[in-house]
Amino acid sequence: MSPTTHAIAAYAVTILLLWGYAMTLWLSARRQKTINSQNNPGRSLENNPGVSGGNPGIIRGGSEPS
Amino acid sequence: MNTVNKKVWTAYWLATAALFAAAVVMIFAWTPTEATMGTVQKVFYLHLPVAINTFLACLITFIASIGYLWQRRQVWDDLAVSSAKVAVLLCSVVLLTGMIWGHSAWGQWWTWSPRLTFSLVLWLLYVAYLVIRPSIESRQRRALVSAVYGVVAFLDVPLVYLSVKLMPDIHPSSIGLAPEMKMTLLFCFLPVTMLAVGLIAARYRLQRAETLSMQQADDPSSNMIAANPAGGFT
Repeated sequence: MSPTTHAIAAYAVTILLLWGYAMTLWLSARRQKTINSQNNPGRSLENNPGVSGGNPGIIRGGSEPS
Repeated sequence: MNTVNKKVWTAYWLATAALFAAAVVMIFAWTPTEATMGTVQKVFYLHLPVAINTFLACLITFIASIGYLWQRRQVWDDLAVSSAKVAVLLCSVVLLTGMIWGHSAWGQWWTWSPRLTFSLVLWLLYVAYLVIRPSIESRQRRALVSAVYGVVAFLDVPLVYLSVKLMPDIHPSSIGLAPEMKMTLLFCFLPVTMLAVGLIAARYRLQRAETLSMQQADDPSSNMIAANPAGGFT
């Protein structure tokens, strides 16, 4: 392997690992948010019909969407 | 996460990605190629900032571990483990990029020089930190053992840093760089540090969410109270 190939390999490893991990964290955060809203809809702003700015039409008992 | 936080967070990651891309362009298009080693020396501009940020991540674990031992609050344990995970990742990058560079510059993937050995020990110490944790069932005991371990594991960081100064090593003890190379190196610290801090912060947020979720699963009554403070929601 030439020095250029080595340099490219090193950069590829760095970018793949660091940015790959960032993507994994982002996906995990989204999944966790979904789990939280399913387990506990009352605490999520999006699913909370009683909180200003909440989405009224998602959980049972919420007001009807206009 | 409220809308303002989300926007700040998005802007932070976009800025990090843009600066990272700019650093790569600067390294390959603007910085002169080193005469002796050639193109492979360009690995140095990422290798050193990532190594320094590994120490930073280990330092955060160390401080958070002391924080837990002092206050016994779960947030410190969450911060310590988040930072330890990022430390393992960064240390892996340091070892891998170092090996690739070493193979080109020295003709071998690995040599048991003091700095390389202490770096490998550092990686193993933090991998062990993460492997040991799930084997302890009690949350308080796990946090306590991890905190003590987090303090002890940090002792290897000064050894990695000082090894080239105290013992003969394949790494140089000081580096002389041309002004453009120095500027590129300093610039590279910015995106790499932003990325490391962003990863620790993102991992910490996720860790907090997981911890709160587990606490609610352990004690559903606290969940009901938290979800329904006024008592009129069910």
